[in-house]
Amino acid sequence: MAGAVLRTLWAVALVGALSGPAAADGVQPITRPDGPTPTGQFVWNDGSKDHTLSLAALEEALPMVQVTTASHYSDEVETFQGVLLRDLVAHLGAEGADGLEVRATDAYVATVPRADWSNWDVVLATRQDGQPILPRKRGPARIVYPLDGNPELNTNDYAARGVWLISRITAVRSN
Amino acid sequence: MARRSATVRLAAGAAAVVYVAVTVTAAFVTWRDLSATEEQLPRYGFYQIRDLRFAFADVTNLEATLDLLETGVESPAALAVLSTLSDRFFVRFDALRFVGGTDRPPEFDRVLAEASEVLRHLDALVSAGAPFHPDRIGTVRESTDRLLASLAGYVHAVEQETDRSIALQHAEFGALKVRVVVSILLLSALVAGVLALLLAHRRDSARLRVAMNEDALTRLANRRAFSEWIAASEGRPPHALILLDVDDFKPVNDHHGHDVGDRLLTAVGDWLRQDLAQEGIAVRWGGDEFVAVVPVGKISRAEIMARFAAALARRPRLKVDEGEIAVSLSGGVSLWPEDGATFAEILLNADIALYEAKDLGKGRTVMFEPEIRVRRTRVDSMRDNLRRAIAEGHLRLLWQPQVDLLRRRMIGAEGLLRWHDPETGAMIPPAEFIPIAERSDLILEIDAFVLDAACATLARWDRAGADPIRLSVNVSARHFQRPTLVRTVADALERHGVAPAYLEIEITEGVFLADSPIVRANLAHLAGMGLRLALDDFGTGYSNVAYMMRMRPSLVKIDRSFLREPDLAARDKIMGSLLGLAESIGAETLVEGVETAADLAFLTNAGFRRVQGFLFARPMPEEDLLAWRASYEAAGAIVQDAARRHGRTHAAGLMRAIPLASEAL
Repeated sequence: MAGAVLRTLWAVALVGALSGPAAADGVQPITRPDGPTPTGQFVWNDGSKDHTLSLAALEEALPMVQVTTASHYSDEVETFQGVLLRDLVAHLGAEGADGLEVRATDAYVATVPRADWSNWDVVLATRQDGQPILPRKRGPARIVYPLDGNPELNTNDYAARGVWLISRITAVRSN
Repeated sequence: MARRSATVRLAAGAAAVVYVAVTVTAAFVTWRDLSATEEQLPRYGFYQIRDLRFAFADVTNLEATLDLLETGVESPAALAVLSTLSDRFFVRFDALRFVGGTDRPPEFDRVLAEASEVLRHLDALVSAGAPFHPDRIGTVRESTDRLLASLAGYVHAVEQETDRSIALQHAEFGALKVRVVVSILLLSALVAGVLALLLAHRRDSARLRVAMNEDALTRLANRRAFSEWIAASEGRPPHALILLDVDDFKPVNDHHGHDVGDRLLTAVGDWLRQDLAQEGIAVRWGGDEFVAVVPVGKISRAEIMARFAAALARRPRLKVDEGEIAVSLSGGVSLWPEDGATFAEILLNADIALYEAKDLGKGRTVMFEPEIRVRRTRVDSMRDNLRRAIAEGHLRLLWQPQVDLLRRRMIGAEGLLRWHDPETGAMIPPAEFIPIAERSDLILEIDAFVLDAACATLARWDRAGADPIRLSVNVSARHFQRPTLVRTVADALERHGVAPAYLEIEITEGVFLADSPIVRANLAHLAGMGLRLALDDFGTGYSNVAYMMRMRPSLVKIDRSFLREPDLAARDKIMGSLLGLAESIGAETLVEGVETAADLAFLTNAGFRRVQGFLFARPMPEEDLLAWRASYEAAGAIVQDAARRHGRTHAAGLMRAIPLASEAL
């Protein structure tokens, strides 16, 4: 317990000492990996209408990034590839959205507020270790928070937003 | 002192050790308790409900799908749905496995085992593909039933654990609550104690600061404060210093107790502060002595004395059980810088003035004058000399005969004190040293000497076989206020084996100035012993005549001043009435200071028969007295005889006897 607190303090101090989150976290731009293309898709609702977005099209349209990080639900460090949520929102013309309601095939729902993709390099992962994410690996798409380098994200609130088995994303406006 | 501080240091050290031990123990116990409580907290609360909810939902979903399959759905789409379902099922329990952590109840392992069973059968069903064999579906169903049962068991275990944890927390929290409250109370008590100590320390040091400069009883300035005040006296306007002494303070203390004595001093202190010395400084000099120094500006000495007298008139009275004590104060006043350049000098002068005031009879205030100092110096040296004279036997008694004119006999002799100084050869008259002796206890020694000398003389005559002569001695009025007087007289009589009837004690009216029980007891005792009491200098004092008469003197001695009265008619009347007064109480009368034939003629005509004076004899030594008696009485016999023969008058015969009397000197 005390160790965790100390660790957090140490990490916060470290973050304060470094120049910015983009350079500190494990997110970096990459070219589109070789190998099989993801076949998955999800429904995008811009607030009025449903659109089907295929992961392959997104990989085509948006710059790809790679994130290597531990997660809230696993001690292992994992590597994902995908697009920045921030880029996705811009691509879909949803900059005005206050948040994204992300729904999973198992009926799980969480809302990612705008602050998250503004402040951090939150990734919509389409691949893990360069490969499309299998359903049993919680694919085809998942939200990945760059926990390494951003210890302030290590809370249950952010853990709840790391949605997997994504089936639908809806733009949310508070009014 | 060193030993004491060592003890204090040891106690402080021990207290510090105890304090540290208690603090560390309390901190340790609190930490342990809190940690124990922390141990009881569940570590898997956050995902618990959500995971279970989804787990149940997934299982029911699966069962519903199996129900559909049993109805004969065989399409590829149905297979895809089943495949997705099994994937989701896998993910669900995969996630659950991690979320479970290490602290889960053992029932959870069964859940995971059952889940993997379900998954195994489900995967088998999917890989076999359509058409779905009812047996395979049944197998999956059986496994989901077991999973549901294990999930229910797990939920129950979690609930139980949660309940236990909550109950434990309640129990722990109750104890913790008490401990925290007690700790807070203890802490605040400690803080209050520390604050109280600090405050007390501050008050004590303030009190100490005050006490350094303050008299504890009267709260007036003490000598130290007075010294400081004097040290800062530069540039002050003229001041008057009054040194006050409580008269007869010791008897008040002895008679009423120290409480009353203290109250008296406090009352005087208050009066000084609030009245006499509102300005300036009031000091308790010590014992029953006070000093007040007040600014006086440019007013005359008389005005200053008037101001003090006015303040003294307002001096306190003290209420006691038996009534009131009138506080009597004697004072000496001296002026600064008029009477002395320094306050030390002024104080000395005031002391001299106070001494004078006491000598003059207490209850009065005297202002210092240089002559007082001169006089005091003389008085002091006189006292010293007198003390030495008593010790070395330079005092002696001369005896002046007292005669009875009618019987022509010597009836007695009055002892008169003489002080012969062998160094200077001078004879110091009693009028000079008796008043000085009377202002101190020296008079008591003189009285004792006189009584002893008279008894010694009587004893010598007795041994010589001579006819006894009654001897008369003077005892100081001051001596009558001492309970030791009777003892002194009795001792003298006993020492020489003398009958009391031959000793006459002369007392002056001064004795009656103080109507005290001691004086009355002394008079009664002496009379009871059989001594004669003679009232000396009768008519010159101012006392209550009736009261004096009540003591029933054996003899009343009419003062010579009446004999010297120039208005002869008045003299006749006064002397006649004095004689009547004495006769009315049955006392004899004797006239002193008979010096001329005219005196004698008047006295015989007026009916006085007992006289004393130079006309008959000057005071003489003891050895001459018997001879004088013999010659006087022999001459008297001749005169009487001649008178009888020549038929001369009684008075003329007496007249003729005078030369004879004078020859005896």
